[in-house]
Amino acid sequence: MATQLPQLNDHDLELLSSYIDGQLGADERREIERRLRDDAALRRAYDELRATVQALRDLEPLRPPRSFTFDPAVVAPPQPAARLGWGRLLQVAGVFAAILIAAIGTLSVLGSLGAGAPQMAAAPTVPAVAPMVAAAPTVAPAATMAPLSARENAPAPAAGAPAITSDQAAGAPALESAPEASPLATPAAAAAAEPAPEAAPAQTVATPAISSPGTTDLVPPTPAPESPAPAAAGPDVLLILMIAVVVVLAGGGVWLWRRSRSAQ
Amino acid sequence: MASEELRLVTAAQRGDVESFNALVRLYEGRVYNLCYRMLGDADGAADATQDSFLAAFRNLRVFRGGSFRSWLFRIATNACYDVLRARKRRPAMSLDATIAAAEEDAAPLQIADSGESPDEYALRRELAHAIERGLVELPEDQRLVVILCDLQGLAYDEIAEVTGANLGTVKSRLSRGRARLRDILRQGELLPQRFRHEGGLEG
Repeated sequence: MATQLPQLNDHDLELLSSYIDGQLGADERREIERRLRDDAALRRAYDELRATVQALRDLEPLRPPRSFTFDPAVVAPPQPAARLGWGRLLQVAGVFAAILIAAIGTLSVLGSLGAGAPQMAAAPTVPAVAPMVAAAPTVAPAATMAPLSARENAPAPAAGAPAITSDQAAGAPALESAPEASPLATPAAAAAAEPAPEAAPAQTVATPAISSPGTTDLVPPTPAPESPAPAAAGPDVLLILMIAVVVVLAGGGVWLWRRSRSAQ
Repeated sequence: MASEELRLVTAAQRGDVESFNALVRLYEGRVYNLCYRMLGDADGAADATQDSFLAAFRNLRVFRGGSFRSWLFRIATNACYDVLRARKRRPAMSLDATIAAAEEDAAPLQIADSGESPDEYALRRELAHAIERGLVELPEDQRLVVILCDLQGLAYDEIAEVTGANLGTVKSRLSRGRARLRDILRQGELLPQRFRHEGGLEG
């Protein structure tokens, strides 16, 4: 006894499926009902599909193996809806401040490039990594080693200075032999261009600190006692820069704090 | 009911964990069953359910109204897809093992009160197992739509919201999924007797 399986095209299958769910419009429903009366194969296909759906719906739901509720004492409450609070404001301000610093730094570099070779050569006396520390070797000779401040005396103290001195003393000839030193000094000058403006206020603030005996011993006889700060770094620019740095730090701090809270 | 749910959601968004727990109690059975039918094993379903509620709790602030159930089911669906993707990358569990686990985990069927004979009970049990096996064998997108419609009782538009598919796609996946299951039942001669079609019945 051969079994004849009703085969439907996708459209009819979809119509029957939707008809079972009562999802056909009035016209489509009337049409499919008419066909079901007239077409025995379609009616059998409908019966089979309906039996399958019924078997699915008869599946008994499973009981969860445990409760999925949270312990209020353990779970941190969800973060409130995003709003423009002080923290978010600081983050946004931090981004703008970072852009401002980059812009002013770029302008400073351009200004120092245009100022000529002697200023560029003097820049290596201010290390790029730590601007506040960098102020010490620049200012120390002027404050505590006044007799050594003359340029022609530079090689003599360098010989008797500690190990750190030899590194910086190596930079000293750059002042004398600008043509050879320029290619080497240029990248350093560019790197130092950003912190350079901060060196100027540090001179006045850091003067008492650098006059301590320990600091004085380590300070090499820098051959450039005059401040190498570019002319572009006026007091108003420096003020803006310092504010911008503070805002960037505050914005970054808020971001880190939020991130650590959300990770909990 | 909807207003009570809305109140719970609003309170939970303000950080009230107990209100969120009330929502968990309301939906944990349905979310677990959705995960179980998608994944085919109890342990995986429990983990996916836990992950779903945790994700819902953490992201409650981005819920902007509408149907909380649809939003939660969508999260649960994503959690299941994550598990399924991980299984594909590291197929520690074969399809056969999944089916065997599904059968092992399945709730024992109770004999119906209305004088069901042992034969009828055995047939009903076999039918349930065949449906569970068939569900696991369906393509994932069809399986999801069949589960949401026939096991969870969602309307087409809500299924579209949960799955992110349009209505036409939902209808198509549903009809194809049902047809595949029908074929499985046919092969096992598990369709009720009156629906089996012999040649003599053809007019």
